[in-house]
Amino acid sequence: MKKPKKPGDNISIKTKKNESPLIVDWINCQTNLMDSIRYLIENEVAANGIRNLQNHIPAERAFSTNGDSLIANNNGLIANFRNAELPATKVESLTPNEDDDIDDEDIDSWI
Amino acid sequence: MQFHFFVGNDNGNSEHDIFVDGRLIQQPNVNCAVDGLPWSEEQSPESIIKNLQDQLIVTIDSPSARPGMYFIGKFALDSGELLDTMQVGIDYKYDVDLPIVNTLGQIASVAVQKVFEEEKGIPENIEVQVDMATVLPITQHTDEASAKFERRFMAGPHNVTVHLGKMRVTVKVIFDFTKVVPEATPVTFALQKDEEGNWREGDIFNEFAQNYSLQENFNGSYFKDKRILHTDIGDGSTEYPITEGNKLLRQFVHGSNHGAGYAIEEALDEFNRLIHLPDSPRQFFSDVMKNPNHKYHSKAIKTLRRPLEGQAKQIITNIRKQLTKARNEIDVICVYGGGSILMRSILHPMLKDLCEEREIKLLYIPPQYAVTMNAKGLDAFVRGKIYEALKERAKQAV
Repeated sequence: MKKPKKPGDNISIKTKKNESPLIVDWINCQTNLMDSIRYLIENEVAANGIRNLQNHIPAERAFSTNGDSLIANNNGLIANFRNAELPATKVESLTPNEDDDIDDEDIDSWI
Repeated sequence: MQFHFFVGNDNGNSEHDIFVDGRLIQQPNVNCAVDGLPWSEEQSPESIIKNLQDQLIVTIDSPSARPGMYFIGKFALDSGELLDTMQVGIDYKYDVDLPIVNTLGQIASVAVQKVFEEEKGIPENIEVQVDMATVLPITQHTDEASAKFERRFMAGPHNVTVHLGKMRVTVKVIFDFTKVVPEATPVTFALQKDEEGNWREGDIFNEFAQNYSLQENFNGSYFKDKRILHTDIGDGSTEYPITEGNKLLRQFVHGSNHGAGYAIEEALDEFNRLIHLPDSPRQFFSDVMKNPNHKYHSKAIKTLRRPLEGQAKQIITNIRKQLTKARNEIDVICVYGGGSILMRSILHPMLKDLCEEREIKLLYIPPQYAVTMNAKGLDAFVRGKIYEALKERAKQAV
């Protein structure tokens, strides 16, 4: 059984190998990734309550594969944002979260 | 031309399943040493490259195997030459040349194909750096044996000439690092993640999820903290390691010399008697087994049933031993391997009862996935963080 998460538990987030540039740029632009994601969740819950988003969003999404086309269609609006904020910082806070739940003990067991 | 390949290599007694640069190759694990090329006329290299693995001829110059020219896999099997195979229960995999030669051959074949796809041409020289994970049967896996097996790959470079008709391509294979783990153990990674690194899903889990009424969007994340007793039934050995999430529980590593190969060998005499042949090879028997329309099919099944039951009983005994050792603290018994397909009708009911009694879930991998679980697990392992960390530590130690 899947254990429910408790406060303080790790959640792991990993980007896809073919993650769209839109998503990757957005991630790289955050100084506190987890807090930004928390804010997105808060917005979603405020608007729609707690629900399994997988039942409501299409599997094929307009931005999912090619962020660039979307950017082009928006009269450069997003592109401007992107250029304005991108150089801000490379985020360090990402690394501990994306770590795939593998700790030293796991590694030692394979030696 | 230079490449870096990740290789997940399952050198089985009957079949060689190997992921090279993400491509799965399945070939009979046999080869034969020959004196020269079989072709007298010119062959177009392009026509060979497409199905190179089915007509693979290489010349090996390696510090770890007898130098010479070899037919590999299917081409060797079909050649009528004297075959080199791995003897069920007799050969030590880390000592013989077969796994070295066939591994080098397959890696070189993919390198040639990759150049051809990317460049539309055929180069004279290719160099391949390899990171590889492979396995030894648990009964053969000791620290010394695995270190020796690793060294045979990492000694090098190995020079492999791939013959495309009369044309030759030289492939220099260098193993940057090789890790040898006990058979079946990496399968824990294949249960969790797919080739892309996402949680595995799909019909591989259908029966399991339905039987235990698990949630609809069931996927491999289920296994990430589970204690799994593996039962990997091969031709010559069966492995019963226990893993917990991404961890290998060393104290429970256990294997036994049982498998489908023993049952087939036992059945063969009786089968030959029934069909009035003094002698027929194991391969013939296997072909008849696989073909329900063959006139001797029911005879083959009949003769195999009792020997298979014998093997299945031994396997159940070993599983019980493991359960006792682990105090029944197992979440899932996971059964796979080529032998699990033949034994399913006998083993599945026995295991189901045992699992109900001990309150353990049974995941009997469907036949279409059963054979490649080890190769998939090795492919996931060699691309994973644990391999990376092991490699780093090994490099530091030098």
